[in-house]
Amino acid sequence: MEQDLFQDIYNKFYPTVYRICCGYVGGNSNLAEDLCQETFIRIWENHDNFKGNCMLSTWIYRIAVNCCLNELRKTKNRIKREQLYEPPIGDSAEKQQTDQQVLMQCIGKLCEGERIIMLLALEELDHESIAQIIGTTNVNIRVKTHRIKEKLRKIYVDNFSECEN
Amino acid sequence: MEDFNDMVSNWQKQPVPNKGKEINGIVRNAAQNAKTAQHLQRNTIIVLGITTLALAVVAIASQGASALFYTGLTVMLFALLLRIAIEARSIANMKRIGVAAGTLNYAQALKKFYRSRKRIHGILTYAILALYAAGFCLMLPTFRQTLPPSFYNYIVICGIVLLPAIAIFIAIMNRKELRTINASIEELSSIESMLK
Repeated sequence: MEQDLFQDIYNKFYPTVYRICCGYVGGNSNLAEDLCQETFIRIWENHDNFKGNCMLSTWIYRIAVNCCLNELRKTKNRIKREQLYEPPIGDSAEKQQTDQQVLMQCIGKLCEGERIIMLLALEELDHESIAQIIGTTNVNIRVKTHRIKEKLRKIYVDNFSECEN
Repeated sequence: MEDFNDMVSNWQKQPVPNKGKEINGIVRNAAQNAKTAQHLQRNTIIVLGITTLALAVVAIASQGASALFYTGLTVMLFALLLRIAIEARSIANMKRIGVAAGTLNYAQALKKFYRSRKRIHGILTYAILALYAAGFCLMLPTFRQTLPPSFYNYIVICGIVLLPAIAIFIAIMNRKELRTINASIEELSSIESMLK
C-alpha cells in the first residue's frame, strides 16, 4: 500500500475508529488513542489480506472492534477502562460535553457485546455492515440492535432524564 | 436525548483529538513490530544453539560417564526444548488469529487461545519443572563420583534451595497470569453469547 493512500484512509476513518475505541473503553481518551494507533498498525500490516469481498470500511471497523477485544487481556487497561469519562482537551461547548458524558455513561452500562453493536449503530452503519463486522446474520443484528436501543433509552430515562428537566 | 437520532447526533459531535494525523509513526511502529518478531525468533534460535552447544560440551567432557548421567542430561534438555517449543507454538497460534476476522470468530479464536495458555500455565509448566528436576537428580550420582565432595555438596544445596524457590516464583506468577486469563475468558464468553 502506498503511504499516500494509507494517509487518505487514516484521515477518512480516524474519527470513526477513535469514537468506536473511545466508546469501548468508557471514554478514556488516552486508552482510545492507543487502541486507535494499534488498529491502524494492524491495518497497515494486514492490507495485503484485504481481498475486497466486503467494503473497506467494514474491514477497518472489524479490525478496530477486534483490537478492542484484544485489549481485554491487559489488566492495567481493564482498570483504566473503568475510570471516568474525560473529554479530550479542546472542546469548548460545555453543554455538548455534558450530553456526551451522559451518553458515554449510558453506553458504559451496557454489557460489552451490546456495547460493540451499539457503537457501530451510533456510527449509523446499516444492519448488513454490522452483521458483516460481527460475523452473524442481518436478522440477528436487526433484532439485537432494536433491543439494545431500547435498553439504552431506558438506561437514559432511568438515570439521567431528570437531570435534563 | 431520549430519541436515538439525538444520541447519534451527539455521539458524532464528540471531539476527536487532533494529534496523530501523520502516519509515519504508525508505519514506523509496524516496522518495529516486525523487527521485534524477528528478534524473538533469532533469540529463540540463539538459546537453542547455546543449550545444544552446552550439552555437546558436557557430553564430550564427561566421556565414559554412566548411562544414568546421559539420561538425566537428555531429560533436562528435553524439558527445556519442550518449554521453548510450547511457547513458540503459542506465539504462532496467536499470530494465526486473523485480526480482520468477524468479531464472533475472533472472540472464539481468542477464547481458544486463552484456554491453551491456561493449560500451559497450569499442569504443563509444573510437569516440565518436575521433568527438569528429575533430570538433575539423575545426574547427581555421577557428580558424587566425579566431583570433589565440597563442590558436590555445593551443587546439592543449590539444587535444594533453588528448585523450590523457582517453583514458588513460577506458582506466584502463574496465579497472577491465570487470574487475568480467567477474567478474559469470562468476558469473551459473555460477549460471544450476546453476539450469537
